[in-house]
Amino acid sequence: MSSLSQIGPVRGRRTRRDVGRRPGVRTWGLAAALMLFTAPAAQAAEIRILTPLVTFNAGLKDLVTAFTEATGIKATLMVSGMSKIIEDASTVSPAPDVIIVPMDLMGTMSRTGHLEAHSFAPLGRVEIGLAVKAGAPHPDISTVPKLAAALRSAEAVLYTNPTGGGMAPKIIQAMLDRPEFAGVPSRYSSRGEGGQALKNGEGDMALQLVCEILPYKEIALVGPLPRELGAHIDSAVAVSARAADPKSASAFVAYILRPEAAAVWKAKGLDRF
Amino acid sequence: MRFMWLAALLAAVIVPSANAAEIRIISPGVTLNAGLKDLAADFTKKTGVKTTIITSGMSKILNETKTAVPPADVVFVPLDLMGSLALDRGIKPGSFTALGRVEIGLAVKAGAPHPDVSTMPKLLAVLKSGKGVLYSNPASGSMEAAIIDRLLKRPEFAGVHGVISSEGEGGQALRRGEGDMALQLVCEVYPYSDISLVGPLPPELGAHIDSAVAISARSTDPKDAAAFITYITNRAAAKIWKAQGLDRF
Repeated sequence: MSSLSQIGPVRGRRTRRDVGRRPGVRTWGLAAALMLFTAPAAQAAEIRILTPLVTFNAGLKDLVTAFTEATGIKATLMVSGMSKIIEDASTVSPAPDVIIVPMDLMGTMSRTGHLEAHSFAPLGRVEIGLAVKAGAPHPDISTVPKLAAALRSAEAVLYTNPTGGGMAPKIIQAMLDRPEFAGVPSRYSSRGEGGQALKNGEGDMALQLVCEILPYKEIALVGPLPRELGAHIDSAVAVSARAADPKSASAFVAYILRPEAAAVWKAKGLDRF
Repeated sequence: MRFMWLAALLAAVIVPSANAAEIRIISPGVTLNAGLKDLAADFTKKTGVKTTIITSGMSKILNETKTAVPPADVVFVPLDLMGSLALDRGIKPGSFTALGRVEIGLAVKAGAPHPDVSTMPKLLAVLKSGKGVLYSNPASGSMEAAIIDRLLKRPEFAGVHGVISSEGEGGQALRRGEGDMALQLVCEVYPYSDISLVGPLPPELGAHIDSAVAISARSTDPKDAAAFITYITNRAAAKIWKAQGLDRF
């Protein structure tokens, strides 16, 4: 049983000229004739993109929509958990055309023949940050001792339960296990992400991926954790070896990596490399 | 006299471009030992562009990339460090290229039996049977040594007699007879005929270093730097990397 959630297909938008026009007989005839020539290509122009939540929430949804609008190529997002994504990439049917995963997993997938040769492209970094309730003061967390002091001053520092298999909660757990963070009143979210638990009033601070803080207006990002903690997820993108449409898949990868796309990623919490 | 003027004029035009045809490559030991030396020499033979390799430890390589004089043109570092360098604008945008993976493996003395280390239980049984499992000193700042040290501190590895090499790498200590097994990057086992690679550790341990290459933002010759990266990442180069322990992505 697959754990995949499918979002889409995201279809091309009708243009203003299309809206309100009723096709006449001649138009239908022309359309039918055109379909004879174009139907096979049109069927091929659909891609499936396998992604974990970190990139799904960090701009991918918007870029998929923009890509479809720009090219007419349908795109379906398939969201999978980190613990199952490699298995899903090799077994799910229909197969994904594009795969987005953290760097280390992409390296493994490259070595195990999951990717089109040399299509592994570094994408960007999403930091783990500290969130507080909107309007609450923002403590200084620019160094590890200052972060540790801020966390110790909290009533409860919320984060997602790492037994769910998420990569970010495991990174947070490993960080909180370090001696510098002894005495931090940490607590798992009762349901969903740490940021959602903060929104629901289960505590006064949360450690969460930046891209999963920015969507909620009831909570505010204080800032990313200090660099030396290595609290981030670096992602990469590649064309699947099972892609039914590798040409459109390559076009999609080029589209989301172009410099103009960097602002979309950045606004949602991913810094492009 | 007219010829001398002409020669002087030509020299003035040619010398700067000849000077420019030299690139500096900064690399940690893992990529240096996994094919980079040979590929840099091949690149020079084919293009005439001189290559100078500067080796740096993992703990200092980012700082040296940002500050060393003269600056490096091409930078090799593990993927995670390259991400940080990219975000600090230490590399030319768009030049971050995923290179490949070097596994950590188990080595024994040449001629000793090769045990089965293909699964975690089998690896554990083998390591527990060793008199001394050598590895490099993690206090040196070595990434590989830190990975092995963390591995040996896991509860499953309790009972393994890990021994830090008295000098240099774990594989070198195995050669000197300081123990009967060593955990070491495979690219640092291959060069020695008196020790032998049993195999890489099981993949679920994640015992590897993934590397990347990019053009330094401080490069004085980005064109030749880009040509070098194209050369070392082409399909033909994959065999050279593979033979010395790096699997190309």
